[in-house]
Amino acid sequence: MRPSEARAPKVPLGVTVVAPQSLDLSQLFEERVLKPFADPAIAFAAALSQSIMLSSHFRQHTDAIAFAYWARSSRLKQLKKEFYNIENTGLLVARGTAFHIAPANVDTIFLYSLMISLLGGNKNIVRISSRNTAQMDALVGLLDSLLNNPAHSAMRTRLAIIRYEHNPTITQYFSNFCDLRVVWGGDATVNAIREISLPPRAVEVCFPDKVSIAVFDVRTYLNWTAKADFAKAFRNDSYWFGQMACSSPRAIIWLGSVEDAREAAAIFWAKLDVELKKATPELSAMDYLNKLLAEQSFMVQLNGSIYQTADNQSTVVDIKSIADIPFDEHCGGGLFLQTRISELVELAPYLSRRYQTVLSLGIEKEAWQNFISTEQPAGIDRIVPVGMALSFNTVWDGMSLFRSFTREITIQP
Amino acid sequence: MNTLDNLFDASCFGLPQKQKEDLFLPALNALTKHHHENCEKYHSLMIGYGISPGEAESLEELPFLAVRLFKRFDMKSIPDNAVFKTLTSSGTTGQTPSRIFLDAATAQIQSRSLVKVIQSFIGEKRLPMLILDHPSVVKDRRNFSARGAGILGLSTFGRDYFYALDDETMELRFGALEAWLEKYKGAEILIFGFTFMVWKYFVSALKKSGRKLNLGNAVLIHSGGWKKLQDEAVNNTEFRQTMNEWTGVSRVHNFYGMVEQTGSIYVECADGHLHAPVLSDVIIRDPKDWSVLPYGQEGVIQVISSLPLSYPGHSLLTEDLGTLLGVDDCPCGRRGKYFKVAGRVPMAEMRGCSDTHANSSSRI
Repeated sequence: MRPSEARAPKVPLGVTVVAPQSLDLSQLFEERVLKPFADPAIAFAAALSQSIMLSSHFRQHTDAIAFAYWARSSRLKQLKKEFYNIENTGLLVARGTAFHIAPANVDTIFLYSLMISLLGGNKNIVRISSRNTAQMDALVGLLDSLLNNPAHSAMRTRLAIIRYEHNPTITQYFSNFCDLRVVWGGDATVNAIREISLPPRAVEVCFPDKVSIAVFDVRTYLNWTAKADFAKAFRNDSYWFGQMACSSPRAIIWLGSVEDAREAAAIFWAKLDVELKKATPELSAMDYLNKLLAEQSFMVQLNGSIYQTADNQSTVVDIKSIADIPFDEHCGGGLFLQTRISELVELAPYLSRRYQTVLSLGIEKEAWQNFISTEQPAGIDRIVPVGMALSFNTVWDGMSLFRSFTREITIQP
Repeated sequence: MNTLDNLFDASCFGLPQKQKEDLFLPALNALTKHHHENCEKYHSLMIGYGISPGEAESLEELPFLAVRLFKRFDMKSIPDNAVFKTLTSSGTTGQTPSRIFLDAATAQIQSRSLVKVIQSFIGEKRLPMLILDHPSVVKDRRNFSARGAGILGLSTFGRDYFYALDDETMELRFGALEAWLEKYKGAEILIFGFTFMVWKYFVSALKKSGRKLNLGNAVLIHSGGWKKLQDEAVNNTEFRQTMNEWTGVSRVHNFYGMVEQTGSIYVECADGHLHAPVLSDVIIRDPKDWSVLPYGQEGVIQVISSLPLSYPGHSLLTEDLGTLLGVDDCPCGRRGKYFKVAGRVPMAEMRGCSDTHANSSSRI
């Protein structure tokens, strides 16, 4: 057992434990960590995945279903293997108590980092937003009933979902005795939470704002046989979270000649339109107005020009150079900047640390490896094919989460 | 501008839509061209859309700007030294207000337009004016609130102003009001206030104290939107009925307008329909593709005004929802389009793993 360094004083007022509701947080504080990939943790993750799959509440929520699929039993076995591959270099053990701050707007994203932490053996306290959504309420209810199930009694005192209104004093309280703090929620949240101190030996993992792009080789696209599937995958990458997920592409960069790019773009947007008609994204009138404002702002600021699409589901603005991509003004909802390059190397100067995902088509792994080792861009965390933008990986934002969420003990007696 | 003179010379609500558009469209095409030549940002927009300015063959073809563009950029078609007055929208705390730059000519035609429209409803005589607000709302002449500016604008149509509310308490100054009304017994008076103020501090105050007024000869003009009243579940019909029951006022005219097109107002007739005057017009658009919606279908309101010379605000897509009710055939006899406003477009839901989206939308 490795007790938390500070003995926790009484839980401050305003904190509600929503799952398991019966839990007294002091039980969690005094609990021992588990060894990584202990049976109760695996069983709990599998049960959560299964309950989401079986529950009628989540049928409309593709993101919850995607999580459940990610955490399915066979996948957990792979994760365990992955973990022990890392462990070959030393013995990995839980850090202790992890304090997770979930984002306000995406109900399920924190589940991934929570599961990785839980499988790593940590005890977990998750602060979720006080904003109620139907999906979050369903998720909390499900976690509560799983944690109260005797089959998962080992987890009942090792996982707590809590709610409280924004309050630095309460955040400080939980920070005081955590060994790991995980912060989702954009630059503003990360900055605000960083003001709140951590114990000297605790570590922090933050997921601040990131942006993503697509780089498509035009010749490869023009010769691509499954263009409809490609468009469908791109639609899912872009529209699942109304394009506000960090990993959703916001700019399309065509790699090739002017003529080819023109031809490829015409086919690509027409195919996307077909897919958007088959499954229309849930955009509101305000989303469309936001996009109109954005498109007009890009014209005023960057001399952008409208690229005609079938309707307002997709809004495409041609810009002259990748240097111009104005990510701060981007409102999501199917708004794409479009430009063209002749050589991959043209990207290099602009890839700031903010760049996370590149959706790639027709650019070989070696070409990317060469590009990255030669140019050493500040940004880019992952390069994946279309359809994989939102697939969570245990390596995220450039960090191996298994490593970050555990402690490595070298044993060389 | 001759095209504009033609509009000012025409009857405010007398022209059938077709004839109106024959006069109106050339004025609007001229404005598009004018701003294209004189406003660099507007020029970029026309290039960005690939539009040949001034060649719209129908009102529907006129390019329109997102109204929030005026919050984000200083958009003007006049040199800095020609700016006569800058209007700012009220906006909620923390939001950037719209900034509308007027030269003397634009300010002047705005007031001319306001006069033309209001006089067609209340006549040319200046009437004793009861203002349903407190006097200090217009005290600081350098720094008007939207409410103060509205009151000053409308005060052109009145005389012997009486502010009905107490500065400190916002309570109805009932005794002083009765004394003032005594002077104008049987005479026509003008009442003006913001919809919510009228409801909360006048009608509800009378109702609460159980005191009725007899203002059968008064005409009430009010504006400012229904949002706060919707929160209290009060609609236009109930507003009119309660007003009539407690004050005797039966002539009630709500109007719709915005700071980005000051002077272009849409006034409600006795049947409760908002009417487009000869100097301005509305189009209802489908947010899904900005196509024009037919009668009876709710969509986003586009407002078109022949007045903005000094800034490119002659065709704007608002963030309000409305429905076109008909053209040329309102029972009140006014020609042209008539419509209703349902309120603001609801805020978009927050999404994404970051929280920056919270800042991107304003106006609500």
